[in-house]
Amino acid sequence: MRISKINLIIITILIILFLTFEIFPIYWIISNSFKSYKDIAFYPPKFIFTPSINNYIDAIQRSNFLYAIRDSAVASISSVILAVLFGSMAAYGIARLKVGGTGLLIFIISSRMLPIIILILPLYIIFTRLKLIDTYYSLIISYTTFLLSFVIWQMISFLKEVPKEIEEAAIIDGCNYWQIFFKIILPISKPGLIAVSIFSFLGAWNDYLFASILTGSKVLTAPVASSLFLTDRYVPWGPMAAACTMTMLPALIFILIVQKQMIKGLTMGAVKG
Amino acid sequence: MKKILLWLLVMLVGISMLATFSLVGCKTTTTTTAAAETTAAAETTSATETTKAVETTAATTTTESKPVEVKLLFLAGGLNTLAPMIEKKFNELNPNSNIKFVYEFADYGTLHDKIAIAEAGGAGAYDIYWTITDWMPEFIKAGFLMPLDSYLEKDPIDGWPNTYPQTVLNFQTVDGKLYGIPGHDGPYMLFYRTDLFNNETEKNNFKEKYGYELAPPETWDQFKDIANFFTRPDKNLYGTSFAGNDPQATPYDLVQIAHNFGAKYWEDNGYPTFNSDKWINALEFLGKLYKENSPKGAPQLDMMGRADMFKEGKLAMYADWTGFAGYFELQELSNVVGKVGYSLMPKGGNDGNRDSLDIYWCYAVSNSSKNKDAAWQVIKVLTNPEIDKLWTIGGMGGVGVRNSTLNDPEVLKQFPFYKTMAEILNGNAFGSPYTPAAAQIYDILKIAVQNYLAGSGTAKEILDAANAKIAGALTK
Amino acid sequence: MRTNKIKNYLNRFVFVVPSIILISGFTLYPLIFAFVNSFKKYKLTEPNNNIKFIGFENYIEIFKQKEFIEALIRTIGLTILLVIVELLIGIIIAVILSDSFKGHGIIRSVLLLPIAATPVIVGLTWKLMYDPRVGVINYLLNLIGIEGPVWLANSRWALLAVIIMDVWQWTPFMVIILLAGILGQPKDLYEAALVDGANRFRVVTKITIPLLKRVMGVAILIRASDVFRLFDQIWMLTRGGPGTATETLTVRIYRTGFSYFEMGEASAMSFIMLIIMMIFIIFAIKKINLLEET
Repeated sequence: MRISKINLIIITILIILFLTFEIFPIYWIISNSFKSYKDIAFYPPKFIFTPSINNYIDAIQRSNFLYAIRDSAVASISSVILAVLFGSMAAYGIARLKVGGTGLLIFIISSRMLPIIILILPLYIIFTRLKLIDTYYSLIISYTTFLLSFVIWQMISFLKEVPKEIEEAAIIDGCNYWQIFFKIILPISKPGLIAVSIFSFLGAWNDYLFASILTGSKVLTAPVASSLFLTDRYVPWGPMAAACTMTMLPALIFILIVQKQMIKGLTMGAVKG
Repeated sequence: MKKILLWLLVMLVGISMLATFSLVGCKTTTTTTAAAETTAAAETTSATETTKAVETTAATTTTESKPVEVKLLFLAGGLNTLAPMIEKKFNELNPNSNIKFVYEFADYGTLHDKIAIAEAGGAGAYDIYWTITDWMPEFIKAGFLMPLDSYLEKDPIDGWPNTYPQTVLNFQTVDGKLYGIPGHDGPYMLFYRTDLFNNETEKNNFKEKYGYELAPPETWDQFKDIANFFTRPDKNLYGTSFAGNDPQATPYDLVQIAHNFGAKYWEDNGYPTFNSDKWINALEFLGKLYKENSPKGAPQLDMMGRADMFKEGKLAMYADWTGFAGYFELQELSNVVGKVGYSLMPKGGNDGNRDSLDIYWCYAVSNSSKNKDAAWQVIKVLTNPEIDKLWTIGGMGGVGVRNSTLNDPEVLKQFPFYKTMAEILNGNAFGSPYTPAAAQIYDILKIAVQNYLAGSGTAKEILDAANAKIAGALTK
Repeated sequence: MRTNKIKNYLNRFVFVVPSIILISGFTLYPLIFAFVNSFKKYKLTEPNNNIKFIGFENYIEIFKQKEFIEALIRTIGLTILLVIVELLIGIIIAVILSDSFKGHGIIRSVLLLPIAATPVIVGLTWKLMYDPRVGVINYLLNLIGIEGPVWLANSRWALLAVIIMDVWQWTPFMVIILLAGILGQPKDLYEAALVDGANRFRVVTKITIPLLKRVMGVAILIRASDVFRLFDQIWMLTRGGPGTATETLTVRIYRTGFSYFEMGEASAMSFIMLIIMMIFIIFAIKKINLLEET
C-alpha cells in the first residue's frame, strides 16, 4: 500500500508518542529501583543518578522476596492451567456441543460482575470451613474460578474461527467427544490458548485482594509481599520499585517465550486459509 | 529453540505442581503429628523449602504434647525485625514452654480489614492482634477482643499499671474492662528547625516585624506569625505544611487544631457538635494555613510526602505524629539530621489548651483464640520492659510506651524527642472520639476538609453537613 | 431412543461440569450470601445474633444517599468514556501497526509491559508521578513552560488523572486484541478494494472496522466490565478523593462495607451494580451474536 510522506511522518510521530506514553511509567519504576531514597523523594526528579543495587538486596532480604515469587508462580501457574483446561472444555461444550446455550453463558459471565470485595467475606468463610485458609489451594481455587469466565468467553470467540469440517470428519471416523476435544480442538486452538493463558496469568500473578485476605504467613505472594514494605511512616520507594521490577520480570520472560505463539493465537483466522 | 523453551515451561509447571503437593504434605505432618520427634524431623526437612514466614519452634519440646501455635497478626514494617529478639526473650523467661510463634504482617488498611474478616467470617484464625485504639471500640463492641482483666489479676504484666504513663491506659477500656496492653505510641507533636529558629538574623528580623522573640510557638496565633515569617516560596522554604490527601493525617490535623481551640466532640446529651463555632474556626484557620503558608500542592500531599518535605529542609515547622521523629535523624533519609527541635502543640485562644491528639497501638487477644493462656504469656513478653526498649532503639521505627523507656538515658541520648513525648503523655494528651463509629467519623471529617479545600462550600455549610452525617452514623 | 439422547446429552454435559461446579461453589454461594445480606441489617461489628431482616430498607437507604447516586452516575460515565477513548486509540494504533511497521513483535511485547505491572505499585507510582512536589509529570511540564495543576486535589483534574492512568494501562490490551483481529482478516478483500482504487481511509472505515465488529464487541465487553469494577488503582491513587470526587461504585461499596461496616448496605449496592451489569451484558451478547452462526 502506498502511503504519502506526510502521512508517514504523522504516523511515525503518533506511534512514537504513544509508545513513549506507554513506556515512560515503566521506565520510571525501573529507574527508581536503582535510586537512593533521597533521589526519589526529594525535588527535583532525577534523570541522572548513580545507580546502585542496594534496593534489590534490601527488597530480597526484607521479606524473603524470592520465596514470594515462588509462591506467586505456584499459585498462578497452577490456576492458569486449570482455568484454561476447564475453560476450553466448557467453551467447547457451549459453542460446539450446544450445552446450556445463552443462559449458561450469562450465568458464567455474571460470575465476573460482582465486585470482589463483596465476595471476599463469604469466600473467607468457605475456605475456613474447608480448612484451606493460608494454603495454595485457596488461591488456586479462587483464581481458577475468577479466570474461568474470561477464558470461556475468549475461547468461544476463538472456536468460532475454527472450521467445523474437521470435527465432522472426526465424528464420522468414530471419535468420541473427548477424543475430538483432546486430539483436534486443543491442538488447533493452541495459539489461542496461549494468548488466553497470558492474560489469565497476568491476572492471577498480579492479584492483590484475594491473596492479601486468604493467605499471609505460610503462603505469601509477591504483590502482597511488596505491599508489606509500606510502613506507615515512610514509603521505601526504592525497594518497592525493585520488588515491582522483580515481579514483572518472570511475567515478561513468560511472555517472551510464548510471544510468537501468541501472535498466531491472536490471529486465529489464519487457520481458515 | 521454540520447542525447547516450551518444554522448559511445561517442566516448570510440572515441578511447581509437584512442589505444591509436597509442600502441603509437609505442612499436614507438621501440624498433626503428636510425637515431638517426628515434628522436629518434619520441621527440619521442610524448613529449607517451606518455611518462609518467620516461623520457628520456640522451645525444645520435652513432653509428648504438640507445640501450641500462637498466631500474631501485626502491622508491616518494623515488628518483623523484632521477632527473633522476642523469641529469645520468651525462651529465657519460659524455658519449658512449647509455644510456636507464627507471624503474619499486613499494611495499615489491610490489617484492619483482615481482623474484621477473620473474626466475622472465620474465627479462631489468630491469637494476638496488633490494633490501634481508634479501631478498638468497634472491635470490642463486635466481640472480637477478649477482656484482659482476669489475666492481669492472676498473672500481671511487669509493673502494671504504675510504670505506664497515665494516657496510654485510657483508650482501650470499655465499660470498665480493659482489652489491650499498649505497645507503641506517637502523639501529635510540633517539630521545628532549630537552625532557623536559633539563627541570629532570623531572630532579629522576626522581633523587628512582630515585636516578640522568635521561639517555638505557644499559641496558634504565634504559629501563624512564624509560618508567615518563614513562608518564602522563591527560596523554597515554607512556614509549614499540612497533608490534604491522607486518611491518617487530613482529619487528624483538623481534630488536633479544633481541640487546641477548645472544641468538643459531644454536647452534654451526647449529640455530636462537630459544627460548633470552634470547629468552624478551626477549619477556617486550617484552610488559611493551607492557602497562605503551605506549598501549593499541600492538598494533594499524604503524610509521608509532608514528612519528606520536612526531611528535605523545606518546612520551618509542622505538626505530626511522633513516630516520624526517629526518621528525621537518619542520614540516608533526611537532610535535617540534628536540626530538629520538639515542642508541645500550640494553644488556641483563651479557653484553649496545649494537648496533643494521642492514639496508640495495643496488643490484644482475639476472643475466638483457642490458645488464650499461651497468648497471654506471649503478650507478657512483648510488653516486657527490655523488649519495649529494644523496640525503641533498634532503628525499627518503634516508639516504646513504658516510663522506663521514656526516661532511659540511652534512649534520650539517641532520640531527644522522648523528653517532649513523656511530657505529652503525662497530662497533655487527649483521645479520638471514643465510639465504635470513630473510623467513620474520621472518614467523614477527611471528606469535609477536602471539600473545604476544594472550595465547595463555606466551613459552616460543610461542617453542618458532616455533623448531620456523623449523627446519622452514631444512631445506626 | 430417548435414553440414547439423554446419554448423548450427558456425554456433552460433562464438558461444562468442572466450570459449573467451581463457579457455583465459589461465586454462586457468595452471591446468594450477599443477596440475603442485602435484606438484613448486617453490620460487621454487631454480634451475630443481632442481625435482623429488614426487607428493602437497605435499598431505600442507599438511594437516599447523594454519594451513592453520584458514584453510580460517575461510574457509568467513566465506563463509557474510558471504553470509547481506549477503543478509539486502540483502533488507530492497531491500524497503523497492522501495515506500516515490521517490528510488531517487539512493539507488542513492549505494549504488554503496562498490563504486566502490579496494580498496587502502578497506583503508587502514578501517585508519585502526579505528586505536586517531586512528581515527574509537573516537572516535565515545567520544563516546557507549563505550570502543572495540583492533580489529585481538584475534582476535575483528579478524575482526569484516573482516566490517564487507566488509558495508559489498558489501551495496549485493546491494541493487541484489535491488531490480532485485523491481522486475521482475509487479505483478498483488501486487495479487491485496492484494485477498485479506494484510499486508505476508506479501506479502514469500509472494510477493516466492519469486519472487526465481533472482536471489538468482545473487547468492549471485557473492558466495560473491568472498568465498571475499577478499584485497586483508584484506591491507591486517590481513595475516592478529593472529597468523593473520584469515588466509583466499588470504592463506595468498599467504604460502606469495610470502613463503615454496613455489610447490608454494601451488599444492596452490589446488587444494584450487578443488575445494571447484567442488563448491559444480556444486551451486548445478543448484539455480538456470540453464540449464533455467522
